[in-house]
Amino acid sequence: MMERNNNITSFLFFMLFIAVTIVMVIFFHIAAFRLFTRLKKVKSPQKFTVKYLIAANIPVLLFFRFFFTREGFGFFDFLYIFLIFNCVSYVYFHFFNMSETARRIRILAYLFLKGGRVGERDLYSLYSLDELIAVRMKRLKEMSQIEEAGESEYILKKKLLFRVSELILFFRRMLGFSKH
Amino acid sequence: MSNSRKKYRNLLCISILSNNVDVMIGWPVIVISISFFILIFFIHVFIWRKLKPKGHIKSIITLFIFIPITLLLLCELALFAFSFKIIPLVAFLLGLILYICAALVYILTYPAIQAWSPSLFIVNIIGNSKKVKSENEIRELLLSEGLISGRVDDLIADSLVIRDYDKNELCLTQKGRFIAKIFFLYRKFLGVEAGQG
Repeated sequence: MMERNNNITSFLFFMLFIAVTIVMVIFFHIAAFRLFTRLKKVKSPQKFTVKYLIAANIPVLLFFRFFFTREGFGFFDFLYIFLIFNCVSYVYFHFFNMSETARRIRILAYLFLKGGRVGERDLYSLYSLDELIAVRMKRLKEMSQIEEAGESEYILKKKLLFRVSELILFFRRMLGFSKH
Repeated sequence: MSNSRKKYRNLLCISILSNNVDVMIGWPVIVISISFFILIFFIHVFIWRKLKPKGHIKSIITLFIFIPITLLLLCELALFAFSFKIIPLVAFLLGLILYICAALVYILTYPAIQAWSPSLFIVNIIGNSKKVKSENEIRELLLSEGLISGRVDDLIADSLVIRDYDKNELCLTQKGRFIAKIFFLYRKFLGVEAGQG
């Protein structure tokens, strides 16, 4: 019984540490984002956030390595912390990205700002196809994923997002959303 | 190492990393959690191909979070009640947390899969095209994919918005207001305006 209580206490300490670390990482992201935006150093908010979260791996893993250093700190302990931290980082990145780009969130925010009720036509006028394309083209250029190859003509610059899109397409086919 | 530091470190140095609990984050915790996630994923693929649920977010959270966690907790409670020590409690909880993290990763990715994120769609068109793509061509393809329509219907299906047919208006529900508020506050913390969608 005593051993079980010790284990549970240890587990709770461990989880508390992970939670505090994650809160700190988010807090520093908000602070850094505010600072760099004010200094006009943020070209692409997504790129900034991805770089920040990747870089955050180093202090976080070192932090755990330092505090939990014992002879028994093995590969799987390290892998576990790495997985948990990166899963949560990915979730946070998506949350950030949704606040920036998601159409559903924009609709909700628009409704919220208009007191919770708007005419359907007003809402659709919010979303012109031209604006939707222009905003995305700008964002993709800022992220260096596409580049202009003439007037209003585009080619791929980097393949990262393209590969992600292929993966998403694969999942869409698997779930029966896309037939081709 | 000084005594106080050793004491402090021992307090933090959880049993997971101490000699007697080395096994706790062993490969079984990671492998079983990930395998369990893969199993739930295949069930999800099977259900989605057969049934195509309407309230996407609600269904996916129920399938990936509520059902598995309830089942796992019931199993663990049953094992605990009958004093079977097949899986130590801490290992079970560590595994459960890893599973929840993996499930959250998928849940957050799912909207981009279900609604074909326009940015990814554009990159996909450009990347798969053998020649340069013009903005007009992209516009036509976006129209044919119906990327703009359908998002309001998704919000209605997930009970975040309701449609008032008499006045031809859309209204936020309490749940929708709550989510909008969270994002609104978050943007405020970041010191930027609402996203451009």
